[in-house]
Amino acid sequence: MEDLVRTENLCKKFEGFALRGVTLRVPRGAVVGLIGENGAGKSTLIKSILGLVRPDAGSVSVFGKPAAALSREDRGAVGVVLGQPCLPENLDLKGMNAVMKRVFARWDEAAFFGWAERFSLPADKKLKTFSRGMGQKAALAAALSHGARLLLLDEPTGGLDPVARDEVLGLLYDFMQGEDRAVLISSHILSDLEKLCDYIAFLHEGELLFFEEKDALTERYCLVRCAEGEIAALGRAAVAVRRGEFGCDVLAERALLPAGTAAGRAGIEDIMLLLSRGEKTEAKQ
Amino acid sequence: MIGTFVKDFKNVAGQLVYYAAILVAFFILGIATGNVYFYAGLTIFCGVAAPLSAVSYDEKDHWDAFALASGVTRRGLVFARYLLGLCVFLPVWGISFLFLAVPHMGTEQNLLAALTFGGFGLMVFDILLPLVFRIGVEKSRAVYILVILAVVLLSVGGASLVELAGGDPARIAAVATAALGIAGVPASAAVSCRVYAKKDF
Repeated sequence: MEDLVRTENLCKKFEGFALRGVTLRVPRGAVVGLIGENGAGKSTLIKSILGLVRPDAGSVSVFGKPAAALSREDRGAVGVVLGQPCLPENLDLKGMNAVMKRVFARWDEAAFFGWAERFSLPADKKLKTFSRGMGQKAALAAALSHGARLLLLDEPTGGLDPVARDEVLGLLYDFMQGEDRAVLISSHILSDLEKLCDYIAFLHEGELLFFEEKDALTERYCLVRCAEGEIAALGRAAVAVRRGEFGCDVLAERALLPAGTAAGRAGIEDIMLLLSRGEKTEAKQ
Repeated sequence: MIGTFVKDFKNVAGQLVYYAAILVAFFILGIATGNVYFYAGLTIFCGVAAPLSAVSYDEKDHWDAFALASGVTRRGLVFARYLLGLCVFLPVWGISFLFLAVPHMGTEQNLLAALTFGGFGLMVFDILLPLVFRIGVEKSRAVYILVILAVVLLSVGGASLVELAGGDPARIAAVATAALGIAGVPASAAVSCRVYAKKDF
């Protein structure tokens, strides 16, 4: 399967933070969810792919070309929502349309106002009067109005209420109906990613802890609830443990579990929390 | 570049109306008093006023990150700000030569004043814009007045040297200031492009 985005051993160092050797791909036809704590490097990774941050080492390719060699048309085929408001707040949607049609070679005015109407965004009010959620919707409307076949979305559902979030997930489903498309999306709302994504990439303190198909991930891991004294019996299956008042949650590898062990499904949130915050079991240290 | 220019223009349009009203007032005052210096002095501030405001809006809006991600080049972003600055400055400077058509104001002294102050404006523009791209608008505002003072002091110093050498300081200073200001624009833009090429957003 062709990759629309590929990073190889990507490194970027800032004061107090480093992205270390991230190798990731966004296959054509796939939605890749990028998860991790605040400061894990998600935005830096997305900005590196977009050429906003210059990597210290490693490579980034988009549509099979080095990111630095992308033409204006190539960049126009990438729709972006960055983690912060990036649209001119002093303009209304009509003014924004006048600007965007000079920025993007394939700007679709009708589509833009169509999305604005669908999102109930007023065309004649300045963006600075919009709520955060409305601003996110305006950014999404712009990202979907210039013929993008790759969406790079950094926290696109941040600030949206559950109904609006569901609407956004719906339009991303619709977007993925087209051929040759892909999405890389970061979010802290893991239930959204669980619904939407084909792959999950987990960044922790600048390192990629895993990049796996979501189904394989939920198949690989399970959650065992047990008493402290029962952890040892799980042997090499136990990966990480979270101790609570009423017992322990153990993230375990399903394939290595002793026969007959009762295990529940581990969601993406359980996997992320236990891998980043849980104590590593002795077997895995 | 054009998209960013249009956005910048829309962003600062309200301020441009305000600047225009002040310039008209100073132009009328200049004619009424027969003194070109009221208006000519203002031209020093006109070169950088619009780009400073535009970049200030862009810093708040994080526009550059969006534009670069959308296919606008770093060079295009830099040139858009230079274009905006010149689109405001050149008409303002051009109007200062209209005083010469006013009866009793068409003197060599007024011509030299228009050249000198326009040159000052361009030199401030040339020095300040790379600083804006390097250290941001807020820090640049702090050095803005210092840059103006430095440019004026350098010109006065240069004129004094010319006088010491037996030349005509007013003429030579006017021509040299205007020539340096104009020649500095491409050099300044080249420095700004180099600054922006290395920047992370």
